[in-house]
Amino acid sequence: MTTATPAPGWHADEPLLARYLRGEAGPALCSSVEAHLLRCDTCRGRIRSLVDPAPLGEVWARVEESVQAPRPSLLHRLVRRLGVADHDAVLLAAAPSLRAGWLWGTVMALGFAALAAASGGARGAVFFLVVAPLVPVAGVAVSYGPDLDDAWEPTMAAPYSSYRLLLLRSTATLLTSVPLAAIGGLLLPGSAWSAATWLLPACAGVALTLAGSTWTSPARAASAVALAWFVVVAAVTAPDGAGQASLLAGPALPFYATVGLAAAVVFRARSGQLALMRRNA
Amino acid sequence: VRGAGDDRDDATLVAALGDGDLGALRELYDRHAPWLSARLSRRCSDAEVVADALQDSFQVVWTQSRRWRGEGEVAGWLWGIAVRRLVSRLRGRPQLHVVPLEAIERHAGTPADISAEERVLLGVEYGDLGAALGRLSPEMRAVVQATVLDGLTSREAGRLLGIPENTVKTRLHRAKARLREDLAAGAMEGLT
Repeated sequence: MTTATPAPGWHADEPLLARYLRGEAGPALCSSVEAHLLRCDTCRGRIRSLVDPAPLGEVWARVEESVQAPRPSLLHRLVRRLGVADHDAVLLAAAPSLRAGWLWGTVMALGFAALAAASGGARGAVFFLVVAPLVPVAGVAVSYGPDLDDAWEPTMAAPYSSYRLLLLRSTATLLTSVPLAAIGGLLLPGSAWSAATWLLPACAGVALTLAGSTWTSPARAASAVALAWFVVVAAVTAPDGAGQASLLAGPALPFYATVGLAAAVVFRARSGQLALMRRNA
Repeated sequence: VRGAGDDRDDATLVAALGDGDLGALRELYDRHAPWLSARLSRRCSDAEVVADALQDSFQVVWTQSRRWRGEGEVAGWLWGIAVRRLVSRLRGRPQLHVVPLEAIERHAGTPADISAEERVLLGVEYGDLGAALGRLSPEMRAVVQATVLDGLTSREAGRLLGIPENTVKTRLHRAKARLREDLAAGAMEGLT
């Protein structure tokens, strides 16, 4: 036998085990049998011959199926542990903005921009200023829609609100790209405050992209937002690189906030369009 | 559910789980699922919940076999997992009570019915405690069973029995006092 018994020679006999299984052994006897079973392989074997094997076989089939199923990805499990429902976690973990390739691309783009800013003085700062707010916008652009989303086909087939999915994916995008861009901003010369001010135009840009995606694909909406942003930056920047400060100066900030809020309201109001677009896609 | 018969011992089988040995899990299941299932059924009368708890348990054993530290009996470790899986399955379902102990009582034999062998079993495991336990009220006994014999915390026992944690503590306190009175001298070290 595989385990030693503390009281060799003494075992629960079959009638006693049968009474235990039927629930007819008294509480003290019940406890005794249970304590004995913990240490006696012989009696465990005896009880095995007394129980109905059919239900146990069914449970085994379920165990076997579940342990052979592919394990959810690390990200999926992490997101689920944070309290996100399982079906949300699947869609979130499939978000392109959370994939390693995209993350590396973001790191590289921001790294170069911050490097240019740190070494190139005023001109470099403009460069970073142009790039940083567009990173979350680009993330949202690829977070939903047929262009870059691998999970698009299954998503289309799923009875899941497009509005909810887009918001879920956008949140994931902001959570990954904003901290990266913030780190890049800290590498810039100047106060930490100036490195953080680009967050407001970034949020406005994301809101505009979301609002735009109720008319066209998120990728096209993001392109339009990026183009508009380039035009604004070019318009206020003098050839020597001066003037960009005004884009992030106090008076301009309420403007971004207003634009962002208005875009958010439009997105909410037109969210029904998302479902329509999906049907026509 | 009878395996082909694996001559490795339980501890070796648990160690093999870490290498993805499904056969080892199967063998452990064959050896331990029957009594685990029987013991869980003494704690919860809903067969489906018991089956779910059993399934959860072996999934946990499969994924967390590294938590087995190689001390004591594998059976005890398995029971610890199984009873906690049951508690977690019962969470938020207070309508599923444990097997009513009164029903067991009706069928229980009088002391005269107990065979010599059973007497030995009782003697080996608990001494006079068996008789004293039998004199407790069903509610108190359920608490003693869940905390002392099954090794659950007050909170877990409360979930299993569908009563508040504080009630578990009060009843356990009273049960211990009763048992102490019952067992005149210091035969109660195991419970304190």
